[in-house]
Amino acid sequence: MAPPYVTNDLNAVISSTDINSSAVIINRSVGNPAIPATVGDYVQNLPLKEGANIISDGSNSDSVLGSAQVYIKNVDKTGSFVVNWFPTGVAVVNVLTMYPGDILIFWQNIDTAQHAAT
Amino acid sequence: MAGNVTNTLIANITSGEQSSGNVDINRGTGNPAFNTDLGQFTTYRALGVGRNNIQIPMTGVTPTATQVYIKNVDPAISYDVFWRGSNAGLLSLSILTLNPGDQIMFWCDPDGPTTPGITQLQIENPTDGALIEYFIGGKNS
Repeated sequence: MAPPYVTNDLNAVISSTDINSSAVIINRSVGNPAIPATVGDYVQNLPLKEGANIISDGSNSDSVLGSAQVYIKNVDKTGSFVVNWFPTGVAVVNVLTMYPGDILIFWQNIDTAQHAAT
Repeated sequence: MAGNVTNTLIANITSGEQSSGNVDINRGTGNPAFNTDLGQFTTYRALGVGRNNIQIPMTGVTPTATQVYIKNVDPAISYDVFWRGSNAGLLSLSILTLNPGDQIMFWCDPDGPTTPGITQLQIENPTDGALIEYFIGGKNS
């Protein structure tokens, strides 16, 4: 595998706040994983064509590990779309329908990933 | 209905060049905050061997989770996440294998154009006692 050129970080906090009292009931960091990787690629406002759009074919790694850190956001004002991916060793799956503003993330350690999505 | 709680995801993604320390990518994700009926957090739950059903705690004919975070907090054991998307048929599908430290999350607007989220969440675990951490949020239907 190519040496790590970049460090991909996810800094995230999940909270749940009581609407009546404004008390923060849950406030949890996800651990802020910082993962050495070969590639970090970011694309914004990509117009999708009708039908299946291939965003990544897994070739951004020189092994079969594929993509190990993924963030997807529907930034369209009105359109929804379906996210499909291939977990390594598994057939393509319909993961989630995303509406405007919805977010989907996974963050995996590429050195230990046995089945990162491709 | 305004709901009982506001579930918020504050996240920032960066990609820093190791040779120079330059931060090539630095991106906030918009910090979505959704009013819902429930937010439930569980940590260090020990899973049994085989398929573990993670209850979606909302009420209604088809309880649906619209905010989900799952992290493998076990030091050594990997397991598979299965879920059933609300628009993806009748069976839970294999979504991703989580190795120690790995995580997956989605944050969806419960008031989306049609029912968003997932209606079933399961973990396929090979070894008794594997540890998991998760958050589930959403509206009663």
